[in-house]
Amino acid sequence: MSREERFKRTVDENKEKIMRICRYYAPSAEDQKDMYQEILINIWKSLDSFRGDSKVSTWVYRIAVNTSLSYAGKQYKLMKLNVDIENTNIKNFLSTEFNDNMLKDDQFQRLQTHLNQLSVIDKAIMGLVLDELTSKEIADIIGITEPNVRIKIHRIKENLRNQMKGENYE
Amino acid sequence: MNNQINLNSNSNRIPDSHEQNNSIDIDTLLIKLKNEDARNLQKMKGLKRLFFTMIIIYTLFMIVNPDPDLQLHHRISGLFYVLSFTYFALLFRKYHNEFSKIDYSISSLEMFKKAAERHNLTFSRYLLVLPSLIFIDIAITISEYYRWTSVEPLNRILIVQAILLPIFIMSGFIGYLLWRKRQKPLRDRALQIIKELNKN
Repeated sequence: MSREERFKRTVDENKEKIMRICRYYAPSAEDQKDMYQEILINIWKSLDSFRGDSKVSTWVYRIAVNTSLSYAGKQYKLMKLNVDIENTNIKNFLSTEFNDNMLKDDQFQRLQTHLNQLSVIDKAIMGLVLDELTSKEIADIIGITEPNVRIKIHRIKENLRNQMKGENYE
Repeated sequence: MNNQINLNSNSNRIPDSHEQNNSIDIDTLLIKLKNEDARNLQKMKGLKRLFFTMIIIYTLFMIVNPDPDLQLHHRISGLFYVLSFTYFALLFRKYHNEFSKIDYSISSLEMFKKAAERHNLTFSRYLLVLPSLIFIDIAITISEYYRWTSVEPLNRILIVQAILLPIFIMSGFIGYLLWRKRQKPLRDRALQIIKELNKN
């Protein structure tokens, strides 16, 4: 298979994943398009380095996450994590707080604010959690140990729950 | 295979006119990517040719030229120019490879560690440039030494050094300022992300 065919196939098989990553981290449609293009460029450049040590999807996630982390440049601290209100995974993630599996608009807005207050790495991890990746896969993408990923996820969850709970009592 | 990718494609919706404009054509992108690769390769080849031509010209005219007017010191001076160009060409190739082959497919931690290293300015980086400067210094000193015959031999060397050293130091300082403006923020950002990743 030629390099072009491999590229097209990789992009075609993973376009949904890449688009989701772009939607999580890029605030506007224009930024999403730029980020998407940047990810494709980096897939093209890295194509020869794929040795099949990991799944193609994990490899694509690595490129997508690394590109989005690099994309923000000097403004990286302002990197956003945009979650769709329809995203059921965020509700599952905070399941005990929202037993009816429904997030009201104002709750969602508050949650969005708290998500944006997370550190850059926590935002990256959250994006992968929302894509239902396992701790092992996240560890493989980010480059930290699996227990460390679990600790980070647990801490993010606790912080978000506490913040949401605290506000609910106010 | 659908080669048009719409970034707003929410499976059940029909994209509006704005969204329709917001799509990426993979085939067009592929052509751009291939052109870009070819351009980069061409640029690298051009620079290689330039260095190679300078090395050949200096070698032919200053070292192996059979002209009897060309004295030994001219040839030695020429040799040091050639050494300086060769060393600089190798150094350029090293940095070009380092910056053009950034691998985004490794883990984030590894990628940012490499970025921090790549954008760091260390004393050893300055030392790496030193041989090229020493070769240029020797080449200029030799050629000027035999030109200013009316001046005391030691003074000839000192005058050349008095001119060259401030130029080298100034160049080093300008390099530092450029690094501080362009590379340091990137290094600091990479270090910050590494710190965040390693935090439990």
